[in-house]
Parts: sequence; structure tokens; C-alpha cells
Amino acid sequence: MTVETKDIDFTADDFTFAQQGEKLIDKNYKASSYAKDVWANFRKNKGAVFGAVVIIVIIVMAIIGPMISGHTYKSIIIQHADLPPRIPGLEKLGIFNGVEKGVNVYQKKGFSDIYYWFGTDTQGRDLFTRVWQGTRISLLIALSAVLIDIFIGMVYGLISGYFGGKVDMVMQRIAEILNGIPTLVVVTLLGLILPQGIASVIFALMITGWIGMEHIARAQVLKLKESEYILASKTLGAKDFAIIFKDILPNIFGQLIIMSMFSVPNAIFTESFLSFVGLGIQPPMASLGSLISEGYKSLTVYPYMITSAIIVLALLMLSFNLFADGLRDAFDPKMKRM
Amino acid sequence: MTQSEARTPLLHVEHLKQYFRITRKYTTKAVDDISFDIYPGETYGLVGESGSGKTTTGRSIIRLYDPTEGKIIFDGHDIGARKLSKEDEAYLRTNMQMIFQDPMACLNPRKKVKEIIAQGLEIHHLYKDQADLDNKVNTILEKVGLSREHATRYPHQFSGGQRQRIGIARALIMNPKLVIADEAISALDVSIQAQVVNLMKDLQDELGTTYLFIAHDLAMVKYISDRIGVMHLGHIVETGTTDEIFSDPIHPYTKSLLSAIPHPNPIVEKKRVAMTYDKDKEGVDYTKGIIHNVSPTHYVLATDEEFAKWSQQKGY
Amino acid sequence: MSEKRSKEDRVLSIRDLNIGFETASGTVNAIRGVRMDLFRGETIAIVGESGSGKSVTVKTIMGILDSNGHITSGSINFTFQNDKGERETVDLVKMSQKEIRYRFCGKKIAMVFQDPMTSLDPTMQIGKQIMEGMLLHLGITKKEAEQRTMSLLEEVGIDNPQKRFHEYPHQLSGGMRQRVVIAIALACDPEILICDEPTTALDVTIQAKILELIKAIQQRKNISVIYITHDLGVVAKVADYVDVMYAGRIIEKGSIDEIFYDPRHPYTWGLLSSMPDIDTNSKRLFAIAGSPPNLLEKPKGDAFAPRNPFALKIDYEEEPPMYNVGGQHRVCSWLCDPRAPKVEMPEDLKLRIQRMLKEDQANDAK
Repeated sequence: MTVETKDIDFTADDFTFAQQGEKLIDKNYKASSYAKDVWANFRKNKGAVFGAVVIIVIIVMAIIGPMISGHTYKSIIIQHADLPPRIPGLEKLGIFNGVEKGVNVYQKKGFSDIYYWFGTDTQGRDLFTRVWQGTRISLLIALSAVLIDIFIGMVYGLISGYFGGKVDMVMQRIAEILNGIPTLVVVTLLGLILPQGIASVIFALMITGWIGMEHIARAQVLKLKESEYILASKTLGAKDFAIIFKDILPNIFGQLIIMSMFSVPNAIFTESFLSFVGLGIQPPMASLGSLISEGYKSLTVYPYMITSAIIVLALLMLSFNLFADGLRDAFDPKMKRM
Repeated sequence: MTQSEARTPLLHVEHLKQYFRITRKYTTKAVDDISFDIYPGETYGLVGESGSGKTTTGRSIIRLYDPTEGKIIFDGHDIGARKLSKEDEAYLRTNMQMIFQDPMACLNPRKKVKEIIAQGLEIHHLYKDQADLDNKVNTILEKVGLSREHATRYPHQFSGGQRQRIGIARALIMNPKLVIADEAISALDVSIQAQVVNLMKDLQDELGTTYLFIAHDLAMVKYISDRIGVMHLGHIVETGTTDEIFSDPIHPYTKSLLSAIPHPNPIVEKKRVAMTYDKDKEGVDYTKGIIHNVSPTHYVLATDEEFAKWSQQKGY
Repeated sequence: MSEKRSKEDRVLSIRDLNIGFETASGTVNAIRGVRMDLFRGETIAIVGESGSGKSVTVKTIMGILDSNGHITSGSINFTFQNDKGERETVDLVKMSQKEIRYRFCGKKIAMVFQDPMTSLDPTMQIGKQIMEGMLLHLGITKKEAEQRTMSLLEEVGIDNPQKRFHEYPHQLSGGMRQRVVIAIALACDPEILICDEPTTALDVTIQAKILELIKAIQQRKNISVIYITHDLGVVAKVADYVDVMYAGRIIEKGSIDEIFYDPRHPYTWGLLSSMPDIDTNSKRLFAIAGSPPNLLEKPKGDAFAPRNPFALKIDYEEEPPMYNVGGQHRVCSWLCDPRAPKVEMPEDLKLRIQRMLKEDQANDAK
């Protein structure tokens, strides 16, 4: 019996039974770490954190920007037209000092006390206010896209996927037909009946913008439909709609929210494109797209009129993409580990 | 007429067929004309390998599928009809329950344990108030050997054996007359299988539940079943009491299943060679077979010649 | 087979292996001080419940340990025949997982996984899958590889190898797929074959055939086999030596006769008793109560103590050391200490073992 027990101090009753005859109750369970895992994964992804931060900054600026600038987005002051950007404080560093082609335009025109942080457009409207006003529109579009995705797309896909058979076939054919209509055509037609502006853009999204989400929701439902816990709900007598919304939906909701985040850049760009083409937002209202459209006309002469809108638009789209990507990876770490 | 024959069966299945149409030309005959009875308070073991149709049988009986053909009478209610009456449907959903195979998939990951267990009671409003519901959940949790604290946890925090017990709790809180255990222990470690089987037997002694125990492991089935039916390719090829099947199997498929059971005895097991059975090589066609009685409770599906030949070959 | 195994024939020598996994909730100590030996031509079975750590140990040997796992201490000495034809020994712990995979995985150490459906590439012909490893590791021509594949297919008992070579996995039955997986594992003549629950996903009537096949191949090629399983019936059929694992430690090890006919650890008693015995009409199956412990916390004393009806007070204080109880039989339990009370295995188990010993004599007499 070779044993190294010399260094253990044994007491007299060490070798007596500890629990003879007692009934053992199973109290085991693992501590829940799912939320911690997700948060840790998300934090590790620098791109995702960057995206999240930028989105928050842009939202804050969109809210307070128009309030702090001291100008409104639509007041036309012809004398102030075509002024380059000038920011107090930074102008001492040699940038944003109102200089254009070597000439300080503000000085030349005698506006030593007036500041336009992003400059003005051809009608003398403050670009800073207009950019953030336009961002508000873009964010509103983003929100509508997500809501439409959820309320129309998700529900449509859930019902189509769950019931299958003829219901599924009919619903999918309808979706395919709708998907085939180009957005441009829809918006143009809507523009004839509805007042120009943001309403027709949102309507257009309501007609076709949810189809991507619908496909994904349907695919997820098909995946889960035969799961044993769904079968268990059926054997317990749960009604179909209860199963869809209480059993299946909570299990796919996270994935679907992330998917809808991916559709945000597309929605924002669609609005920008439509406004650029002249079908969406009309002046004096501003959206990032319409600003780009207006600034485009003076691109070679006054490039600053377009740059701020472009930068904000690009940042907005990029950060939504990064954020959604990071969320998806955080929730699904199995994909990364190989 | 033995004692079991004189009683009315709790479940009567007659000429059940479950076909699945894959393409216009090809239909899978998962269950192809089976008939059996289950009597109150007993455990009927339905045994077979993958593709035998045993899981499909269970799911057809509990109406997860709509049977292609056949009669199913459950405690006097006709549940085999195309469209169930509201009354029959309610009776089925409260008095017949199922325990599923995969402990990792049979519980909704987003629900707390107490919501999962109480689901049936909530759907059919079988409780007086919240306190009564909590009380029922806690009672059944303790009965299956878990503790009250587990009620507020999520499924992923438990081991396979514990999850399977939660599944059992979910089924038994409804106090059903018949529980179909669809490979309920196959996905568990052998040592945990013993736990779960003991639990099921204890609950049967206490509540008088009847079990349809679907499995592929004959050794475990012997422990828990009173009568056994052996399925192969959609047919029940032999059925009888546990004693009869184990001591006097007639059909070669039954014999091959029995010979495949490993003995935990190294000296014997190392020398043993398992018996094989190839249906096509032996030229057996199940659709031509008829029921032959070996005893009032022991039937074999075979043609007359096959029956004569197989009855002579004793042992496996 | 209880002759002393000679040191020259030792293929694998694991000492004091400790492996931990990093999770968001802390470190899981999956393997806590494992010591194991494998000799040429013999079969070891590692037995334990899910979560006991049996798969983790072999994954480390193969170099496929999860990326959040790391070996905190210990050594794994692997002795093999190198390209020059000499016996060489390396410590696998000192190599990175990538290096192990590059040098040994598929070549010197091969693995057969549990589910043949997911082990095979569904879009590649099975002949090509078998050839893949050969072409990569052995540097032979395609024609030679094809010939070897044909003879391998025959060796694993697949009829009509010419036709089967060009078939896809979904055209084969479960048993045949597992035979293909075994052929892939044997393609480069490995010295160690690891089988992780190779028959659990198969039908009962096929299981015995696959085990018999692996045994025949082993005897013919004199390779060492490690079986991972929780099924004692499989162990009884194939193993020469048994290591019983619980919560990351080996708690009992010995030759197959020692473990099955003279078990000493209460956990082993529990495992043996919970197997249904078709020869008795006993009404109750013995089952070990409770479930395996959470390895996030370092257990104080013996990890099995909470589930052990024969636990001693010292089991909650100190972890028991390995006691030598004769022959190759080692037991990790305070009950083997001379100061401990004499505990006999449960009556049911004793009767069953006596019956089993007589069974063989009865069979011989027939």
C-alpha cells in the first residue's frame, strides 16, 4: 500500500461515514453566464464598439445639433451664401477658418463675428443645422425600417413558415411579386398620390422593404418548427398562434433584430438616393441625400457644401454595419472559434 | 383467456398506417398496418431500430401526425378520425402526454423551468390561482428528484439527466392516463438511464400511469415493460409478455436483437459473436405474413411456412 | 492478459496532466491530474459519464483541443516510429496543438468519431476521402493510393469495393459509413487508434459487428486502441485495461478482469450495478443518485463524495491518493486505506459477479 499520506494530519473520526443512509437531493446547476459571454465577446470586437460609439454620437448630435447652432435649417440669407466653414477656436489653428483659395471670405464680406461651422449653401442656409436636421430624417428612416421589418416582415415570415403548405406557397408568391417591383417605380407612383417628402419614402419601404427580413424569419421558423420543445407544446394542446409568438419568436427574436440592423444602411441609402434623384425630400426640408444632391451642383467650386453630408452619411452606414456585425458575432461565438 | 384479455384496453390501435408522400412517385410507408392494445397500468415496450417506425407510431397516436389510415381508440374516445371533435381533442391533450428523446432540445431555451412545467396546466386552466400553480410545480419538482430552486433557472444550466427529469415533470404534472416515452433514455449516459427508469417506475407505482415505452435497447426495456412489441420496417413482427419474448423468441429479427445485447461479463462477451438477420437474404415479406398465435398473448407475424420453420429453431 | 507490460513496448505515457478551460465565468478544471499508460497492441477503455473529461484527454493527444483550453501542467510522452525507422519519443505537451496536428494527426494517431454522418464530407466520394490522407502524408502516387484504398475497403468489410469507391456517404447505411470512417483512420497505418463512442450512433445489431471489426484489425496490425465510452457492454467486449474517470480524474484503473470481477471504488460499483441484467428478474435498477459536479469550483476533497453513500468524513477534506490493491489494480479512494472501515460491494452486485464467473464455466461445459 504505497501512499503519500505522511503530510496530512488525520483526526480520529476522519475514517467514519459521513452520510450513510441519507437520501441525496440533486441541488446541482450551472450558473448562468450567457449574458456575460455575449457582453465580453462584443467588447472584444473593436469594430463593433467603434460602430456603437459612433451611432450614439451621431444620435446625440442629431438631437442637439440644430439647437446649439444658433441658426435654423431653412432661414435664407442671400448675403450669407457660399460661405466656407468657420469654427471659433479651431480657426486659430489654420483650419475651419473661413479661408477659400487663400482668401478669408468672412473678412472680405465683413462678417467677422459670424460663424458657420460647416459653412452655408447657395441660399445662405447654415449647413451645420441642415446636416443634423437631415440626419434626423435619416435616423427616422432607420427606425421606420426596423419597425416595418419587425411588424410586417417578421410576422409575415413567421406565419408563412409555420403553417407551410398552401398558405406558405401563396404568401411566398405574393412576396416574390412585390419584390419584383423596383423601388424607384413604387416611389414615383406614390409621389403622384402622396405629398412629396418623407411619407412616400416610408410608404415605399412598407411595400417592399421587409421582404429580406421575411425570408430570414421564415428560414428560422422552418429550422425550429420540428424541434422537440415545439412538438411538446403541441402535445400539451397549445394553439398555433400561441406557439408562434410565445415559443418560436423568443428564440429567434435576437437574430432577427440583428438582421434588421443590417437593413438600416440600405434603407438610409435608399432614402438618400431617392432624395438625390429628386423624388424624396424636397427643399426647404433637408435630408442627407438632398443635401448631397444640392451640394453636388457646386462640387467643383465649393466642395465643402457636400463633404460634411457625405462624411456623416458614410459614418452612419459604416457604424450600423459594424455594430450589427459585432452583435451577430457576439451572440454566435461558435462560428468564430475554429 | 388470461386476465389481461378480459379488461378493456386503455389504448386500442387497429390497422394503423402512416405514409409520408415524398414526391409524386415515392411514398414512405413509415408505419404499415400495425395493431396492438395497451391495458391500464401496464408498460408496453415498443422496440426496434432506426427506420422501424416506432417513433412515427408514437407521434401518430398522439396526433402530431394525422394517420393515413386506421383506428385509434383511447379510453373510449376515437382519436384516429381525420378531424377530432373539440371534446376528444381536449381529452387527448390532457390525458395523453409525451416524453421526448433529446434532453438538449426538448425544453424551450428561453423559458424558465417553472413556465415549462406549468405549460399544460396554464393552457387548460387546471389550477385555482397562482399559489396553487406554484405549489403543483414544486410538488412535481420534488417528486422527480430536483429541488425548488431549480424552478427559476433556465434549461441550459442543467445536465442531460436533469433536463430529462424536467421533461418528465412537464408530462406528469397533467396526471395523464397514458405517457408515451419516445426514446426517453436513449440520449443519456447509461448510469443516468438507470436513474430515469427508476423514476418512471416509481411514478407509475404512485400514480398508476400507463406507459408506451419506445426504445431500441432491449435490456432496459426488459426492466420496465410488462409486454413488448418488436417493430421492423413498419411492421410489428412479434409481440408478447416480457417473459415470452426473452425466453422464447420466434421471429429471427427478435433473435438478432436479443443476441446483440452486450453482456457486462468480459469472459463471455469477448467470445460471443452476434447473430445477424438480413430480411432480404432470408426472403421474408412482411406484407404476406399473418398473425400466428404461440400463446394467447404471444403473436408472430409470419407466413405458415416461415412460422413452422422458425418455431423449430430454438435459442439465439 | 495480466502479464507485466514491458517498458520498450510503451507507446503513450501521460503523467500528472492538468487541463483548464477559460470561460466567461472563470476557469473550468476539466482534467485534474491524470496518469495513464498505453502499450503496443493493447486496448484501453476510458469509461465515465458525460463531463468526466474522457474526451478532453484524447483531444489533447490529437491536437484538437478547443482554443480556450490549455494544458497547465503534466507530460504526454508519445513513442513512435519516425521516418528513419527508429523509435523516437516526444512530449506532446511541449508542442503546440497545431504542431501535433501537423506531425501526428491522421498519420501516427488516428481517431474514429461518434457520428459517421457528420464525420464524412457529404460532397466527396468515399474513395477520395480515404485517399486524401494517404496522398497528404505518405507521398505516394495516386495509383498506389487507389490500390491501397481498395484493399482497405475490403479489410473493413465493405463488399464490392470497386462500386463503393465512387459512392457518396448518403448512399451508404450507418454501419457502412462507420466502416469508411475506420478505413480513413487506418489509411496511413497509425500506431494509436482512438475511438470516441464509435458505436453509440449505430443500430444495436451493427454495433457488435463494428467492434468485432476493430478488434480484428487491431490484432492483425498490432496497433494500440483507446476507446472512450460510457457503455460497459462495449468495454467488456473490447478492452484489456480499463480507466474509470470521474470529474477529471482517474478514480480506478486495472485489467478488465480486475475491474469487472473485483471493483473497489463505489463509483465503479454504481456503474456496474446500473447496467440492466437480463438474467435476473430484479425489480429495481441500482442508480447513482445526483449528477456530476460543476468543475468551475475546485472541489474540496473527493469530487465524488456528495454522491457517495459510503463517503467518509475525510472525503470532504482531502482528495484520496492512488492505492495499489494488487496486480495492475489501482484505486483512488480513502476506503482502501487500512484505517478505513471495511466496506463490501452491494449484495446485488456481488451475486451478479458470482453468477457471471459461473456463467463462463457453464458455457465451457456445453
